[in-house]
Amino acid sequence: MKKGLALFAVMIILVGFSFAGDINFYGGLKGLFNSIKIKYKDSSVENKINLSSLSFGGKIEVDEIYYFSLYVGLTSAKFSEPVIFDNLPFSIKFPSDTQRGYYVNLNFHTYPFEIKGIEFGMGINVGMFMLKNSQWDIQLPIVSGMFDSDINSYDFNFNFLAKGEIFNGFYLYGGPSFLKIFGNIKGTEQINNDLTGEENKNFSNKKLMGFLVGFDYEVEDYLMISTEIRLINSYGLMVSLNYIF
Amino acid sequence: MKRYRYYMLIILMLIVFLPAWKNMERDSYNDRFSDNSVINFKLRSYIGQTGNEYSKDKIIVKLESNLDSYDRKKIFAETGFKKVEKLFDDYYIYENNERTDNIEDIIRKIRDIPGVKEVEPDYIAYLQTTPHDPYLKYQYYLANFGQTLTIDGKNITVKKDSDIKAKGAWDYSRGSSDLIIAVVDSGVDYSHPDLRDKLLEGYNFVVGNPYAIDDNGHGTEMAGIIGATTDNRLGISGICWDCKILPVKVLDADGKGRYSAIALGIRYAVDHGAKIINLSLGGYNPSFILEDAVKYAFNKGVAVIASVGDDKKKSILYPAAYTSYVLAVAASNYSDQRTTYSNYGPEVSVAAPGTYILTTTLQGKYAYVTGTSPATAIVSGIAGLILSLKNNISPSDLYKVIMYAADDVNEKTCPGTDIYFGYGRADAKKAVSPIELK
Repeated sequence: MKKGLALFAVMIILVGFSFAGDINFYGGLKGLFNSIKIKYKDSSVENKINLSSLSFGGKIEVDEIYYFSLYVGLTSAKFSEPVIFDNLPFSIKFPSDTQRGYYVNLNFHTYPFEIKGIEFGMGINVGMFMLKNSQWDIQLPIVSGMFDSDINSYDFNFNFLAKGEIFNGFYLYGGPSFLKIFGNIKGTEQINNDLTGEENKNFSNKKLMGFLVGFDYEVEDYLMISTEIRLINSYGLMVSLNYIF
Repeated sequence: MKRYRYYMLIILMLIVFLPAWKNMERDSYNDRFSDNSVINFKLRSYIGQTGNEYSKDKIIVKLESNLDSYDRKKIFAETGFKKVEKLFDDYYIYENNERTDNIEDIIRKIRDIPGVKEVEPDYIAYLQTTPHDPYLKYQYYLANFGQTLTIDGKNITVKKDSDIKAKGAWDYSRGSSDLIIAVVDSGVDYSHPDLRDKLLEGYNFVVGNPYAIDDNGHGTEMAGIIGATTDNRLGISGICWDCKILPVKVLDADGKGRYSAIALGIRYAVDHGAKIINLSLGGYNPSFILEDAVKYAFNKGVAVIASVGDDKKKSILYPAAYTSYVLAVAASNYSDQRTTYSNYGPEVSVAAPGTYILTTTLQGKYAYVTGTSPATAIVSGIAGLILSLKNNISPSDLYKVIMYAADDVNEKTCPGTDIYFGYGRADAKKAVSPIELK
């Protein structure tokens, strides 16, 4: 899954280059904070996951219509309530502490139409939050064991966008947004080397449709900042700072 | 203008990274918050059976009594809540359409609004896990608080905490009505008021008819320990509140039974939906038919829990000795010590209280019973609590959960596993409550 998405990212960039006409490069930093209500599959239990990331990468602008970007960085995740693994031989209360890992973000958006100065288009955004496996000791009265966790979260975001220049270098955009978040928390328990269990808690976001609004602002000829707010489930906030080559 | 642009940039970066930083620091924030005596509550989560301690979309607000309608509306608007409803006097309940995780912050803010006298979360109360059975206080094996039992005119003070921690376990599991525990024994008293609602139609392999009526008392005693009707304000509490009991009579009025009848009884229990078979019986002779019967149960995913015997021998009864398929139970006493009667040996898997165990008996009565038989029934009850929670667990894993959760109560004299207690005295709470990772 992870390798497949990475390959997909590379392919999109290569396809972008192959169609390239007039090309501009951007490079910079991106910060992201997502707070998402989730529900577990086959369960009525709900939780909330807060995902933060700081990534660096670049964006390619082709003919001022097509935009491809790839960012990689670090992420942290925190559940608002402990996750209970109750199908393992010994139930486990997985803490809501912050988990850390890696983040990959891939974005494509385009504005092929323009009516009276307002550009219309669409965008696709894929994010991967790959948290580091963590391991805990389990101590029972006579025997001991280990618990391993493996958490991954993916988001797929599709947007219809309208964009207009409000004043010189300041572009406001927004539109309806479809967001699908899915992930898995895998817990593996091994006690005394002879009692093992594995439980997967698959989760997804509660609501899929929402609204996205953001702006791109060319502070200088060589510097652009962008922000984006996504209101689906709870909220997501993104800001990026890019150098224009 | 340029300076203004850079300020704007810094503000935007702060907007994004501040929530992320807050997210990472929330643990320490909560710790500080808990030290504040004004508002001191934290979320608590259970295993999916109970929720949080307070509602996440409602708060209770008490306003100053001299406010007019305009003031009340103004205060409500200031809180940002969506709905308001008067409870009584000056109490109002404010409600949102969605649940939120930051009720603590909201309450702190609302407390500062002029006109608000008190504000608190709408706490949630739960059914108490202490059942209202009048004889529970004599069931030290469930919850031992150092009480004194009067038995045959003699006062016996039991040692605090020498119990299976049943009350703690009941917070997580009280059994399931889908779970059947077979009592393969002398039958059960179908008319006992503390049992009759829990009993399924069984079979009598002594005479060969469907009436597993108890003419000895032993089976009724075991059934009561495992699953007497609980919280009915009558008699005792069973360990597995909601489990069903399948009576299978294989012992006669004298408490004797043929191996063939026992084997048939085991197979009958397996074929009639039992997931646990309690065998508070046994003999010193190994037997192919008995071994085949417990193997049949094990291979069909049915746990067999059997007693090691009451003769203080270094040799244990069959079928308990077939430890590849059976969990062998020894008895401890009311002070978590060795008993004077329990058999012992390397086959012992686990121990449970077996001395002065209050339970149901014939003619609607109650009695204290002693032996590895009641100890076995206690472990069967614990197995019922576990299986009600985790119905996909194999008998082998179930045995390990019971053994590994047991308290090593004699670790000073025999640390680790030993021939008297096996892994230790069974602990229901450790077996069913989630382990908190640290």
